[in-house]
Amino acid sequence: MARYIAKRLLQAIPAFLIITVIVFLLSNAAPGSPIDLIKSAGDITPEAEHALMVQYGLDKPVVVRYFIWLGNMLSGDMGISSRTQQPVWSLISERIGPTLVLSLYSLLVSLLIAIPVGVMAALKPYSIWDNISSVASFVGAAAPNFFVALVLVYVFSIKLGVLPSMGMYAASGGGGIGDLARHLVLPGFVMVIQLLGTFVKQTRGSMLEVMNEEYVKTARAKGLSELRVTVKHILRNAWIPIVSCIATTVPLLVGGATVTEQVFGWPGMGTLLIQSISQRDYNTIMGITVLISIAVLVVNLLLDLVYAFLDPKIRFD
Amino acid sequence: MSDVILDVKNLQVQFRTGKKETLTAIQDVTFQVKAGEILGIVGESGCGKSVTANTILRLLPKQTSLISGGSISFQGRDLVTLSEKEMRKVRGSKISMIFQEPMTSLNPAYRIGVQLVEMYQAHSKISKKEAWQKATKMLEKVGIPAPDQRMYEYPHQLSGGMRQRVMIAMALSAKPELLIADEPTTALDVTIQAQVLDLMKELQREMGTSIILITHDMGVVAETSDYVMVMYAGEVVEYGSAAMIFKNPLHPYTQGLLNSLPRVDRDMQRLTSITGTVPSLSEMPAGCRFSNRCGQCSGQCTQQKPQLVEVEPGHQVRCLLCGAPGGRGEEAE
Amino acid sequence: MKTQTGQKKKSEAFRNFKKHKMAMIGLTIITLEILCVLILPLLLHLDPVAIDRTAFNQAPGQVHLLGTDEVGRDMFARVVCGGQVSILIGFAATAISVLVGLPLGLVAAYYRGRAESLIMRTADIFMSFPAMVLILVVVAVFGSEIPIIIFLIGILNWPAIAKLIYGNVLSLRGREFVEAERAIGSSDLKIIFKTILPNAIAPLWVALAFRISSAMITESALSFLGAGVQPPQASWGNIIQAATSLAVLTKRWWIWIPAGVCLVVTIVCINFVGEGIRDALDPKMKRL
Repeated sequence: MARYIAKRLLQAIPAFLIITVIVFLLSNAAPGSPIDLIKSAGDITPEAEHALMVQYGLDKPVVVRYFIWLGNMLSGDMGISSRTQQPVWSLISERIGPTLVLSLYSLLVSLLIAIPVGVMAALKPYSIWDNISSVASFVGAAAPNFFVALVLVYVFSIKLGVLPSMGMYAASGGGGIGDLARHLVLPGFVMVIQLLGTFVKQTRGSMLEVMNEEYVKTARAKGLSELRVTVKHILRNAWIPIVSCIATTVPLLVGGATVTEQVFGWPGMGTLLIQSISQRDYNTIMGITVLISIAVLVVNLLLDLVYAFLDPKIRFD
Repeated sequence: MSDVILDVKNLQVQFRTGKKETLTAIQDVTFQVKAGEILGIVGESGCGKSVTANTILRLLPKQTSLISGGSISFQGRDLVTLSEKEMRKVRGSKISMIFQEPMTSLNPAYRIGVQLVEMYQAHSKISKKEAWQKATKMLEKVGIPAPDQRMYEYPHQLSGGMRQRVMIAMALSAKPELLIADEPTTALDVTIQAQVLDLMKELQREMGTSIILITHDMGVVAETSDYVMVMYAGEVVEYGSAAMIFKNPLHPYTQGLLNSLPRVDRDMQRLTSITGTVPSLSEMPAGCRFSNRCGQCSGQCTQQKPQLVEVEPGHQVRCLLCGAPGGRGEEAE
Repeated sequence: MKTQTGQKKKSEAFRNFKKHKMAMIGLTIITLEILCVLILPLLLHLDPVAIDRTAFNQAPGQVHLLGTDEVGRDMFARVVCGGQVSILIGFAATAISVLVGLPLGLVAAYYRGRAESLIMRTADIFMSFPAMVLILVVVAVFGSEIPIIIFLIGILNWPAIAKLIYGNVLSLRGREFVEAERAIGSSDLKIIFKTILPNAIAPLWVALAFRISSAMITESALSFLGAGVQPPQASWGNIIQAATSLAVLTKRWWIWIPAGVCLVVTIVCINFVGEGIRDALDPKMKRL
């Protein structure tokens, strides 16, 4: 098991490095470095420029600059936002919570719906469950999330007036779980549609594969009840690929959150990113990207751990 | 004369192959199993022996298969008519089954001990501790070294031969009357094969369990079986005691099977084989199903379907050239 | 199937495809759409950026079939020309994904060893990161001209194609007919082009359909967020962006709904075609 974890860590590090290098290079290519800003105010002598470069550490070789930059990022010093003149980290940190709430909520709800549907679709082929699962997969792949979001807002917020369309809490007199829950419904729905398809398909496929395994027949031949066979023998093994699948939906979650937050005015990192892009606030943009890279890394490692725990072949090697 | 414990008559099973189409996998299968004896069912892949075995315990998937005819009498009840709930009481406790692939027959997610205990607790009200002890003793009985340790191990930590022994232990733990072994040694090395077969024979003697042993290997049959049933293309083509079948094989297919065995006691230049291959279910010849490969095929064989006929006491054959009077000399009596 | 010749397989596949009703409908609609977006602008002299000062926010009528937006542009023209842009980007980006992914997947599967681990690991890394975020960041730095968008969407989707080709070639590689070619001394290139590629390509068509619709969704999301096709140029995504204003959302349906419907219909049809191809190639796998 230790070997597996070590291997995973070793694989994760190049991934992290590659992404952060790309981000670093991009942030360098972005116009608006501190020196450019100073130069735009008036010409400066070459000596002054050189002095400034030393001051900002811009005279060092690229590789060194990268590691300094990375060190800063990881310790929370992400620079100052050119939009608000506040430290980037403080801007981002207050947005992490809302995005986490929306993402985790969507992930949980889609799993809670998708797994039973997928299981039933596998256990009862050609039944209504099977049809539901096909439809869910299809819709999930085909529906453009922002359009669905707009239609939902139109129907439920405007026409029917039952659900709020903006923000995380009511603007006035809001707060509390109930308020949050109401605000989560629509944006959560949009995110869930995207994830549902993938999870249902994976669950169904995984179940079908396990159902055909010989040990399931052995379990039946032992005279065990169908319920016991399904839960203890089939599901217990079908979990494993589903867990790996969660890792692959992280890009979907993040990308989906970006768009969904924007439509619903959700005060998360997605809206901050869009705002920063339109205002050319490069420090914030890079800060968010690095944070996302770290998050992706951590989530993948965590899921690898869970996977190792579930599969005895890895746990007891 | 032992009692008959399993009496199968005219069993027919169909598979669903499309929205409306079905194919008949086995038909007109009739045989008996006597108490304390071993019946070997032998035939090529696809001849229906596994289907027959799985049907006894009703293990075929319900959505795609159907028992369309016949009866399976066991302890005074017809297993075909039992409800799923009643069938579950039979499985494991009265009739047990082990399968071909020991590498995949055990659940990889649970320890051996847990899976064995599950078997004990499914059929009797004993505590986990007691079941654990009994299971450990059973492991010892099937010849697994260091059984206490093994109980805590996972299937992937055991070899194929050991896994099959665990399967046998599991299958016999509730002391069933009948054990069905579907090609239990096919996936094992030859030396391990011999060990597992010996183990089965020993346990059978000790516990008085009847065994249905399914195999494609006539050598295995010769070593173990009291009675032999030869199947081809979903039908029984010959049935009798081992002595009768080996000394006096009547059906050309049986003869072909025996002739294709390499023999050390004979001077053989080439191995004989049966020409051709088993026709697929949708391309069966019109008359006798073996007609397109039979060296003795005559005109009527391609037009008439032979029935299973008792040719001498306890010896049945499905062949026009063996059953009809004036056919072949051996059975004229 | 091993004994059937390539031609026989192809015609059987075509026959199977025609049996799939939804796929045929999908294909028909897509073809009509493509024809429309190519021909109509020229035929009807559609101008998506022309401003009609006499008609702001006008509901659909005789002059402007789908009404006008708040600047006075004809919505019908914008939807059709926007369709041109969106469909173009979808196809072009996918072409880039294939151009990059196909050779990489092929090399990884055929030559194995270090090339394989390098390529496949890189693919995994790309797949683990949200492409949308990366595209947004790059667009922020380099701008959002259409070629850049096409390039970005295409480049970030190469892993899916590469993995598919990799899987197929890997299984084909070990098959007897490939061994036979090697035994008679055929060069690697010959083996690849003559025996492996023709057999590995077939499932690619299925993936292509889904890649195209996925690329279109990505582009439209980008344009919706303001980081894709920039106005006044139209794309279905940036047309729908207007609906973020409450007034447009509730009172001027003609501005955002037609583009949205077109987008959904196009994607659904492409997906049906994809499923049709999948079923045509392997009817046993009729389920998801």
